Amino acid sequence: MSGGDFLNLLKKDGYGFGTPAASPYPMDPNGKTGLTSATTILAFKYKDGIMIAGDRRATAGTTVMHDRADKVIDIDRYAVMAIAGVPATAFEMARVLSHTFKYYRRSQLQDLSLEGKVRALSRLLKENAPMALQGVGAVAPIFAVYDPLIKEGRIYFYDILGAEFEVVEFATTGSGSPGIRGALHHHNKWSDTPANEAGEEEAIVLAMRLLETAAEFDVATSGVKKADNIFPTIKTIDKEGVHTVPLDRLNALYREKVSPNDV
Amino acid sequence: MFEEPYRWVEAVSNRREYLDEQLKAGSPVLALPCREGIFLLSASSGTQKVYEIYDRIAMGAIGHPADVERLRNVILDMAHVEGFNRSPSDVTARRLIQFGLAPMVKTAFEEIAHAPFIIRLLIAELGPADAPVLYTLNYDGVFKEEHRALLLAPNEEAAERSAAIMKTLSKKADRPMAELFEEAFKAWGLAECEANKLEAHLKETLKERRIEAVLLSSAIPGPSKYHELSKDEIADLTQSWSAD
Repeated sequence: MSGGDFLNLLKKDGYGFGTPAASPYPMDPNGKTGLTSATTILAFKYKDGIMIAGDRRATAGTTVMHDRADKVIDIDRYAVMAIAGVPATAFEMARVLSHTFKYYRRSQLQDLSLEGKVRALSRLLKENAPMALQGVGAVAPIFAVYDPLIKEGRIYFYDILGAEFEVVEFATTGSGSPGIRGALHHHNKWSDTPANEAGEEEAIVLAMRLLETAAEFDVATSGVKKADNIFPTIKTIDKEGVHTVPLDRLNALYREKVSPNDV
Repeated sequence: MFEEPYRWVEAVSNRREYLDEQLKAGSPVLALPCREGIFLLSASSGTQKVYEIYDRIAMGAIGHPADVERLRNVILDMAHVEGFNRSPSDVTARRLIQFGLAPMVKTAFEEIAHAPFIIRLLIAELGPADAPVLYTLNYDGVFKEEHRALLLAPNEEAAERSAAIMKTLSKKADRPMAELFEEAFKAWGLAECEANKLEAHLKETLKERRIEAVLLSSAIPGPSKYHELSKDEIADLTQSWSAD
């Protein structure tokens, strides 16, 4: 019996997560991996729960590889992981995490606790540390989850070694994040409606404006491409669970409130 | 002792009698294709009888709780490793039964020096295009595929008592679950008692035992299509029996 531990079950089956590989990139003696975490993801609390959003661009160095990547991923009905970092590792982490939660629930006949879920992602990052330090697999995710006990959304961010930090209001990561971190702080401190008092529509507009701001100053973050119908991925988590904001709603709000003068 | 073929056949036959005797007190499990998908119904006094196995697959069982648990863990592991390594759509009831459980259960049944699995189980799956797929697996490893209403009964007499209603229910797969619930509950109850005691038995079941009612439905949001009905939902469905 695996005691509800899906990662151990996979390992018994021969699966190796975070196994160090012979890397062509030597470790930087200063501890820098040289990796770009080229993206922008953010999560903040709004009136009904959590808003979590990410741009769609995937890059390799200065090359745009893909402009329709989904970096905000449903893990279960009440949890979402947004990824910044190496896509191969990040998507694999999301898959392991999703199976970990459902395997635990089905085998142990109860949901994994919120603390257990938060630690499960931390464990994956720790197991991936050798890869991250070799410069080939660093991931710095945001994990957002609805807590049924306190009936409130909670937001965590992680460093590439697995340290977890719970935030009070918002988290941003990725190469475009420094700019919008300041913008969001400014918004919460001095605007009439801080993010945690905003309704859903206001919060969606705020998330899109922040991502547009990040795209303005960070080439690795994509802005909206109306002609190609490319909009950010935006999800909400409330007491009903995870909801994905549909494309037509994003399109309408973008035209009306994010970039009304843009023809 | 078992080196002579006759002795082995006799031992297997004795084992069959032993297993039938062990299973006869089991509480039945009903699986019913309906408009929403598949409805599963049972009642338990302690150990759970209906389980979520994978996104579109559920299991119901009669038998020794420890054996149910062992086999449940086997298919849970199989399903999740397969779903992760390949795809959730590669996890099917047929593969779990045919290549996982059935050979294992048959081997245990025929190795007469060891204990067999005291079990009879049912696997329900929302198959391709949401078509209901049901499998039964007996303690000897024999499995059968069905696509209509099915009752996992503790013995033949119990199955016979419910047969008429089950036949009617099989023709109503296009109706919503709420409309079929009363008949389904009666079919389940008849597998536990004689017709003249049915009303009293169902009322007592509602008072004394936990009703397990599960809906496998593609209308449920998210990848998992398994929904266990809450106490309130069950209370709504059983109002007519609970009134007095």
